Amino acid sequence: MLEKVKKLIEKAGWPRVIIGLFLLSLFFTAPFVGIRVSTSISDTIVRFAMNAVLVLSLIPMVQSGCGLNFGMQLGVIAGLIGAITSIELGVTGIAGFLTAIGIAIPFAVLLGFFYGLLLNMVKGDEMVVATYVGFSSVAFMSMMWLLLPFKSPNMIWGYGGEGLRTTISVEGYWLGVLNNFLSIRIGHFFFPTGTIIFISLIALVVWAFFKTKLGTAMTAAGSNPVYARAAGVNVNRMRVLSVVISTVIAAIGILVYEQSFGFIQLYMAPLLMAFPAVAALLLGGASVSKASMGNVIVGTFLFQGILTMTPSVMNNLIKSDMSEVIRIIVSNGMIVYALTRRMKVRT
Amino acid sequence: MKRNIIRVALIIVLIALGVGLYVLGRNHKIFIDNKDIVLANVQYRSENTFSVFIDGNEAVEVGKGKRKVVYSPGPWHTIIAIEKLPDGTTREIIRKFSLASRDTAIINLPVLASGNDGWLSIEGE
Amino acid sequence: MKEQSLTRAKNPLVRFAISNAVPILFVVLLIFAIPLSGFSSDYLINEIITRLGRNSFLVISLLIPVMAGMGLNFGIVLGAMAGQMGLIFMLDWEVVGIPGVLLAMLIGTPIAILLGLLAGTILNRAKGREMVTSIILGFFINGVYQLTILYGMGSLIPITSNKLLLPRGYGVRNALDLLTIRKVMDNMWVMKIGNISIPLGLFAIIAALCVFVVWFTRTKLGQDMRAVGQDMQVAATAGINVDRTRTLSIIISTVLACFGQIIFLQNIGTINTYNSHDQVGTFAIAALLIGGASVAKATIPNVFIGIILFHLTFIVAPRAGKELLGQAQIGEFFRVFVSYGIIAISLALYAWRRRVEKETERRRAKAAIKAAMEDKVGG
Repeated sequence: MLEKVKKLIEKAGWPRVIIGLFLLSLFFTAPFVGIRVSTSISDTIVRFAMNAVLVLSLIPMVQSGCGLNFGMQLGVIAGLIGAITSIELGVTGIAGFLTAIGIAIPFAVLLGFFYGLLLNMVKGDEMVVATYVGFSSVAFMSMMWLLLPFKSPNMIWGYGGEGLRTTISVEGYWLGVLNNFLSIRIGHFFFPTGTIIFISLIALVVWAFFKTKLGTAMTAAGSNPVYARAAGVNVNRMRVLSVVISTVIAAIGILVYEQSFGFIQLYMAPLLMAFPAVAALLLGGASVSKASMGNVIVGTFLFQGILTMTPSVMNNLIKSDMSEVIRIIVSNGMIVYALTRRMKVRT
Repeated sequence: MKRNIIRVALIIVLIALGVGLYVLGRNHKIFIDNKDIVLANVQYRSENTFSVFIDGNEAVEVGKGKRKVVYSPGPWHTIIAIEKLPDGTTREIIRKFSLASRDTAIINLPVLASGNDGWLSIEGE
Repeated sequence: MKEQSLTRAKNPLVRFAISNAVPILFVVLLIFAIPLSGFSSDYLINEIITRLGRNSFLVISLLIPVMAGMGLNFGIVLGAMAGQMGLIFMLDWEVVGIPGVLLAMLIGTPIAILLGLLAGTILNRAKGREMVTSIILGFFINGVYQLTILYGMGSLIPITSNKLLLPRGYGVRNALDLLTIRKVMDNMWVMKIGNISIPLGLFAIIAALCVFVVWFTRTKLGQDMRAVGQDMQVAATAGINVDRTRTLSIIISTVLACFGQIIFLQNIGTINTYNSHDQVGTFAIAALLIGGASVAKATIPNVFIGIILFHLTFIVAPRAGKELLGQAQIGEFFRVFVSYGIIAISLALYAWRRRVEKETERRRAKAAIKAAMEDKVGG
């Protein structure tokens, strides 16, 4: 019996088991400290829905051998440009949301293309280069947000100021456009049906893609480049393609996030956005070279569960806000753990 | 074996250094009172203003009946108290005193000016 | 394919320009930006001298890991946190002046050694990915540090001073003033030339550190580190304990960073308990790279040239941005962009060069095998 349990734990991986048990204990303690479990669960689901696409965006690059996408900020920037332009054009509702996506995608493709070429030049050190390329791009765009000629009064600094505001509300445009679509509300429990449907669609497309010939070629390029090349796969082209797909999905992901969160955050806000997404993916069982849909779902749920439950439960327990510190420790601990796993030799 | 002895010796030296730095650098609170006080059945009155220098610090003016606080680090201190007499002349008293690390000192100026002992009272923490 | 690297150009002037491209670029940038900003030369010289005194120790602490092949040690932030903890105890025990600074260093050192040991062990398990791992490890330990400072101090760790603790009784306040040790090292021995004051005492200490670093590279341990940095396989066959040498390089770097952060903070005069150490890694590394260093090679001149160029850009950018584009804020973002950008470019260049070298080696090996086989068949 003990052997069976041990085997199960090893298969799931110790980090997942520990975090999972921690999360369960938080759910159990919740009612005793005055937190409504239904609110907690629906909060977790809403946050899951907000973040899932961003975590999903990491899969193509992991599969193609480009490693963890610490440069996700490039996709986020494309999404931000789409969101801002959509508001500037004044389009509201689902049309506004789709306009944002429509504008974001070409930018994402462009940025992803050059980003992919860069990563091909630095094979073996993609992650560290990606990190600082991501940081620099956020700093660069911070300068741009001040200079770009947007005029909509909802977005610019008041009293004749110049440049875009730091936080721009999407209320009146496309706030909750996905969340509230066909949503279910039972007392204190809220289920964002629209967003979940949207996420499932994207997940389905990605899953289906990897089952196609092109998708398998991409996975082959990542798991064994030499063999893939011998089999006729253009490894470099697969890698660039994976980067473009990842960047596009990240652009869509930030838009899904914003419609739920309610605000567009510019300037330095996206600086560290890649890390929670990477941590969530790794928490779900992925490694630096292999990631699946299951990793995304399990990981995002566990991660967002911790982030939702810790403030409410622990704050009532020890009367102080430990959530930020716990988030830093858990997410970065996960990434360090994953980076120190033995990597199989890639030539 | 030799390596371990050296390591232990090094640690002892560092701890000793730490203690030394602590003693040398610990800031002490020194209260300077220009107040009336009764000591060993002798009444001392506060009458004049004093200019007080503790170690290398700037002058502190302590008026009649007042108390001032000065901070100074280390175990050894010197106090220079210049009493300003009503006729315009001054009287100067110099004394040295030492404090253990966790002590706070209270100096009474009238007693100091009289030349008697007991002008320094030390409170350990 | 062109194998001739540009650094092997014939003309020595071209060679100099190529291998020192980054510093030269910054000098050109500053030639335009400084007059634009309108700062007086006295002000700039004083500022740079202060910043040299303040930051040199931290940037020098990066040199040894580069020598040992560990790349850019983003983990110096661990040393900075150790230094801050030393300062917290120093403040709690009310030790002031130079003895206080020395005591803070004394207390911070064992913490820095432990953290360096942890970092070194983890980095050894992530060979080939040291730099990313050190970045994330820095974030992780920052989390542990915040946990300790926010909850441990005052409760499990005996800190008693009300000036340090939050009103609730445990947890350190987020801004601690260091008036009791403010500029004690700067003021140890000051020389004034006209309007410019030079903290000779501090510079003497920095010079001593440089001498130490040079001496260290000549010791057996230093040579071992060089060997490991060149080629881990060859060093291992020569009998060097590669893992232990690498870990030692990180420990030394972390301890130096601990001292460096204390020197930095005594000049600033305040500790932002939760933020002061945030950008330590980025700014020190950016400065070193701007001085012409690379991931594989960093020398003492790189340190000083880098600090001067980096900090001049830092000071001048906001005002220059205001003159040029009407908003000082652009200048502020520009200097952040420069810091991150220079690191991104250096990392990319290094990674690209490393890949090109690997491929040339592989091709050469293939050609050698082919030639050997043809010999065998022919002869």
